Amino acid sequence: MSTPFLLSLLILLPILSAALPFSRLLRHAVGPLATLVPAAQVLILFILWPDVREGGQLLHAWAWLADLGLHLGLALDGLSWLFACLIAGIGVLVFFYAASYLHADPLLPRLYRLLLLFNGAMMGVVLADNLILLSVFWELTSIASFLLIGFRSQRPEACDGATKALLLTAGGGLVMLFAILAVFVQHGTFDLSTLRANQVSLSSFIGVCFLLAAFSKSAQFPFHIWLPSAMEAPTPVSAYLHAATMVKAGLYLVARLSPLFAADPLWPAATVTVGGVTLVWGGVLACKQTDLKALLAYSTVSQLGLIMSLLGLRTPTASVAALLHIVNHAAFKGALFLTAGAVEHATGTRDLHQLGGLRAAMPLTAAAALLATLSMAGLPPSGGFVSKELFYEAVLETSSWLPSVAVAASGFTFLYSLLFFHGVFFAPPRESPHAHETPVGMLLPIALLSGCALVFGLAPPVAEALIAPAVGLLSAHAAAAHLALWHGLTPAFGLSLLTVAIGGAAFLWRDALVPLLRACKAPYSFDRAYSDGVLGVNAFAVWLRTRYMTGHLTDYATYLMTVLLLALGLPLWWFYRHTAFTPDVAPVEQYEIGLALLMAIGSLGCCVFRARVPLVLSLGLVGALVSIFFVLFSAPDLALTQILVESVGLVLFLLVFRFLSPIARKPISWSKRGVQVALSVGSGLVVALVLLAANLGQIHPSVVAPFYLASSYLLAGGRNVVNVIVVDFRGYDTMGEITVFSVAALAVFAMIKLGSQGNPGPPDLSTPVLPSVILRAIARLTLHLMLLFSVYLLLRGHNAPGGGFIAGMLTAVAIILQMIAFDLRTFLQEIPWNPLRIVMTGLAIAASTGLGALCFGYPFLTSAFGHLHLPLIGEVELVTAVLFDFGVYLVVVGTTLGIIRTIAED
Amino acid sequence: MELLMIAVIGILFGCGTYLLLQAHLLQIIVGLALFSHGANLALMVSGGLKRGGPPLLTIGAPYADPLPQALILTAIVISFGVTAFALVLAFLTKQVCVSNDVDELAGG
Amino acid sequence: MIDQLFILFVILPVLTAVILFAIGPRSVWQQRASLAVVALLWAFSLYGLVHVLQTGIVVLRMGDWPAPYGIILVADVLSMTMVALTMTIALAVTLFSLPTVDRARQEHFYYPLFFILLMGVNGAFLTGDIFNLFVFFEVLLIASYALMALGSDADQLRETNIYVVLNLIASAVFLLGLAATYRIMGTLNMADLAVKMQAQAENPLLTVLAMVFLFVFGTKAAIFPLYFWLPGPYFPPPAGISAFFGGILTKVGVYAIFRTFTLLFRHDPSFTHELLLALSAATMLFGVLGAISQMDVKRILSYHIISQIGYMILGIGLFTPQALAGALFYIVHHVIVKSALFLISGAVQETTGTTSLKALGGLATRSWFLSALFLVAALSLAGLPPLSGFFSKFIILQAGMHEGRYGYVAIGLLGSFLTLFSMLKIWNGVFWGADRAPTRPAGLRPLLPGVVLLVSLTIGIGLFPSVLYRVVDAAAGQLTDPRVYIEAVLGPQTPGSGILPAERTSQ
Repeated sequence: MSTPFLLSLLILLPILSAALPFSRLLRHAVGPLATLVPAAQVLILFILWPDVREGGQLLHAWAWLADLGLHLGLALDGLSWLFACLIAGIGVLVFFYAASYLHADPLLPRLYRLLLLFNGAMMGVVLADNLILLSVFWELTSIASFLLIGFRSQRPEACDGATKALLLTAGGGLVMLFAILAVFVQHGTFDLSTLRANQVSLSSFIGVCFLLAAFSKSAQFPFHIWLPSAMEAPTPVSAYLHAATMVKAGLYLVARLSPLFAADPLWPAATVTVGGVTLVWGGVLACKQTDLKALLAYSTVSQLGLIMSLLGLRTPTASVAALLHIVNHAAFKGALFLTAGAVEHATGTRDLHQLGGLRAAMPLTAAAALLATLSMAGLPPSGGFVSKELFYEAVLETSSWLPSVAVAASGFTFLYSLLFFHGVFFAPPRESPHAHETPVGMLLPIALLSGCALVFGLAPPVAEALIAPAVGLLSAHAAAAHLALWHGLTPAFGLSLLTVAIGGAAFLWRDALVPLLRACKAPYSFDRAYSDGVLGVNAFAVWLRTRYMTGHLTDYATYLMTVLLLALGLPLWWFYRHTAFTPDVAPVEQYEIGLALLMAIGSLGCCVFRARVPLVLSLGLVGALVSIFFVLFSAPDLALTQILVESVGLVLFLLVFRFLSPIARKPISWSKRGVQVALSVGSGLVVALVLLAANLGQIHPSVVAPFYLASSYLLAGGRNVVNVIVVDFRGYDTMGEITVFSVAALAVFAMIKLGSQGNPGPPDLSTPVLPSVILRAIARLTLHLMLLFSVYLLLRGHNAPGGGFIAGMLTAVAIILQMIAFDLRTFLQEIPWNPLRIVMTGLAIAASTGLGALCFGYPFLTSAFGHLHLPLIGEVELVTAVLFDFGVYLVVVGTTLGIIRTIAED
Repeated sequence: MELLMIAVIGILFGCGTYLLLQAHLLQIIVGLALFSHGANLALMVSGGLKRGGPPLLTIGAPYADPLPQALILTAIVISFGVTAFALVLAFLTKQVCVSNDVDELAGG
Repeated sequence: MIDQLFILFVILPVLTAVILFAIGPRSVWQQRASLAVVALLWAFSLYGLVHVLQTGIVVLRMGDWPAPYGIILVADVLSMTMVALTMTIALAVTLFSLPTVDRARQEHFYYPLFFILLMGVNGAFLTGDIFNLFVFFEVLLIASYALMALGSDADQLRETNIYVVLNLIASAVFLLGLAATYRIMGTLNMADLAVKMQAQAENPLLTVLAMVFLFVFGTKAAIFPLYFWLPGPYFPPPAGISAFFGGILTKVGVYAIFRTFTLLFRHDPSFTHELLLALSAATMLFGVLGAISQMDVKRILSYHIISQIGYMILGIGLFTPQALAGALFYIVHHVIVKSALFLISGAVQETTGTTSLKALGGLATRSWFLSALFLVAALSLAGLPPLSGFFSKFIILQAGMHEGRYGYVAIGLLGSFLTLFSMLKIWNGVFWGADRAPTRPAGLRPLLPGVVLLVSLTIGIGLFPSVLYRVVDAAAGQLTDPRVYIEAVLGPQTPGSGILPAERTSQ
């Protein structure tokens, strides 16, 4: 098998197996089957070991989004290999353990799915060569962690812990994305291998962004708060993600990127400082805990800080120490978490106050835990001792203040290690009737991990073999470093003795010291800061919304008009600053001024009148004046249309307004009134200024008008150019327009019918206007005349004012007149069909006329015409455009009647 | 002449805005109607105003620009349809929510 | 000939509406015919997109009149992407509507109105004439008013009133802008306008026009500070409609901004596009803050629309090919995911009767499948890898970095973080926690096909981003160089000369 395939298999195998039908077919074998996956990974890594042993690197990239510099680049070198081994190796044990731990839990398949998903994502993090791919897997691990922490999703604490973890780690991931993008902009690549080959050195700013991501992922101060909350996860998850692997992703990132920041002074300073603070802080807090898992969580925080600061020192010794401690920590902390799980499994509690004396009931577990505890406390002959010695050596080499911090922190480590072990296995026994030895399925992984912790100390070459390929990548000279249990009487050994002395003393006086520690409560914690932050953001958001989004239409209209003024003010000012005002005004007739004044009066009337009838009449006045203007300015079609629309509109208003509530005269503050007036004046002014500007700054006279005038008759066969435009040149607009019109009818019908279904009977109304005999007579007489006239208008529309719309409106008006003249019931009896049918027929005719052209290979709405001379009407254009216009006619008739009728019926 | 029409359009929009800022739906609808009258007249102005030259190819040039007229025709129809809808909406609002006052509606 | 069939995207929906009316509101064929037509158009839209990618811009002359005299439909990659997207969402929404739309709504023209809405949306995407854009805006608006008010309960009516009035204001201003445009430029054809505007560098009059149109389209697209209308009206209608509104409707405004600010208003990017950038940042932040402030699934989702429109506007504000491609990628991603989330909220509503976070909880234990669908869509929305949201965010932000706009990139990432925050709020409120939600007898299974379609799209895009990137890159290429568009519509142009309209091909 080719190595690229094996590399991809490391990631794909777990992710694809996560989709296996565990819950159905493989329900009973889920544990062993899932364990096979990390086992296979171990095998693959073993196969690949020769390739990386001598500092080699396997590199392969698949195409992804090449235009943007994205490749699915995977690389395996010593560092990746080390982490991959942790992920796979601990994976085997944890997967094995989980089968017994959650035995018979129906959710076990889901746990394995998520664990497999995590396993694949974590592999991806350490194998990715492309930084974007790295960030993809990085976020995936956060998501998997989120789901695993919230595994007991019914518990609110689990949900909160999961949320906190996701927000902090994914937030860090976003900051990392920013850094990655910045790297690309500066260096043109996302590939770590290329960056390394070019020996680029990245800026401090990018470094800070990467570090923020690493710190949040590895639970460094002050982002450590998510890790204790993450202990809501089932214990195997805590052991795997939150002790052995995922929290080490930040360490991996720092180790991986360190060479790129070789010249940057901030990088090591920040790493060492934050790591150091975390080391002490975590240690202190761990001593205060009474919950086993919380103790272990803070201990993990502390240990991660230790490794972080070692990575920041960047000396050969420190690098070796860091890598060795990563391995050691994975072993002993994994073992201890699994022990905590076993204890809880046996006794039902994790509270140190309730535990004690379990060495009798669980001797084998106690023995295994002892080895792990030794390693954690840094006592010989464990691996932890070796790495602690190296740690001391490294800090002694470098700075003056670090050793004292290191000793103090190690003292705390020693203390909480003993507190843990003593509290569980030795303290006075409590009532735990069901306590029993850990079942083999759980004991075996614990024993194996503890065994590792011992072996790393007794036989350092084993650990050395693991870390050797990685060491060379971190520090050029570190390959020479030697691992041994016994270094001789070095200063580091002295510090170790000191640590034991301090820690031992603290343990002896624990009954005084621990309560003292617990009593020290910070007035304000980072946890509080987090929850206050969440609440604060929420409160701010609510405040903002209730301020801006009031739900009042008046406010919204105010915003809208204000924005209009603001948006147009500046460019208008620019325009008028450079444009001379040239009042080349065409002569104005006196009557035109009079009409304009009337118009102003009409519109002001609309503003002033509160009573509904004068209001509607003022509006009618404005409409009538508009149609007079249309007459004046050579638009007979428009004038006709406008006057018909106005009259139908008036009927509509009259029908409806009785049922609207009266317009109340509300007391209104002067400031509010001032805003209203100012906005009104302003918007009127701005609109006028825009139009004036358009007039003054004309760039091109109309391109299209000459064409329409020239070819209306020649090419489209009509003399009424407006109508030709409407049905032919821009017939497509008309298609849309009649659709709007039809929908209005449909909508009115649907709303009223559906609305009245739920409501108890609407107010009973007869006809809106009292029928009179004379009116009836006139109506009867005019009906036929008007219908006839509308047919005439329809047919001649192409050549003289008229056309489908006007004709349709006229027909509708004629029929409405009947409705007013006779009472509604008679009317409904006379015209029993549903006007909506007419609408739809018209729409169908118009659309299919247009489509007809397609059958002949012409575009939609292409018209063909011939002329036919009819007596009385004159020349009539034949076929398609008229048919289209007929469709318009039907739509207009149907819609107008439909709306009026629907309302009148209701 | 254009100047006068522009002033008229300005007045229509100004009064329309004032009505939009009032509380009753009927006033708001009337305001919108004023807006659409103003917009139609603005389209009219955009073709240049010409007296006595309707674009009917029987009477002889000069003709008024026919395009704005066609556009206005479309706009009138659309605004009529939509206004009718808005009016019915107001009517239904009164029936269902008892009030046409937007402040009372928002207040719940 | 196949080109001519592109008109079907506009006309087939309206004919379908007529046919649905004709076969009677109670017939089961309402549903069958709707699904059939939508599926047909969906397939055709995918074909059309591929066709346009392969052969270049498709131009249709309505009535066979040449530009700029007649109305031209222009199907470039952008337009066809939007049409294909619309039809995809329409398919998912129809699938969701079949089991959920109640009898009363169906009998009152739910499906015909939906088809008219489709007609308006497709018409707006395809038109090459700015007045015609107005007309189709009105078509889609009136259909949306109707669908929004259908049912006539108090909430719906109140919100519809606001929606209608604000849109009518915008429409009047739109007409005003069209009047000014015609006065200044003497034409309404967008390609022709583009030719004439090219010669007018930094003319403040064009900036006035640009601002008028930005106001109009900004209102429709709900960008800051004009977004206030959006969340209300998207709440009361049935989830299928909310999904279509939330996914597609605001994007028509965004599309119009894209079209006008790449084709027409290129005269003074140092003002117009800089302004767009500033607005985009505010839109991203204010939208997501609004989402955080809410305690209801559908309302949270509505506010997210606003925030994410900010990202799209960010792309157009940056105005580089990659930024445009990224913004388009974002639109595609957003439309798919947002609609999916709305449909999921609809499924929640159907099975529990509520979408309030306070009343819900623990649905993960009831249906792991629904919660998985939600989780994937939600993480995608927040831009977490490896889903479509990650790449769309990545492409835009990378473009922003290239331009040295670090601040905007940072705001984009912050917005993404806050999005995650609010999606977690839904997740914790609806899917995790104690199972306390009420139960309705409605079955979950029939509700899911549409959701599954959309969620698999977001996963698919996440796994194979290069497929979609090729499309949006082609679209961005056409947007960056308006000559392509202009020459497709008006024929070959010689620099400096006026337009050379092609001869009418037939009579």
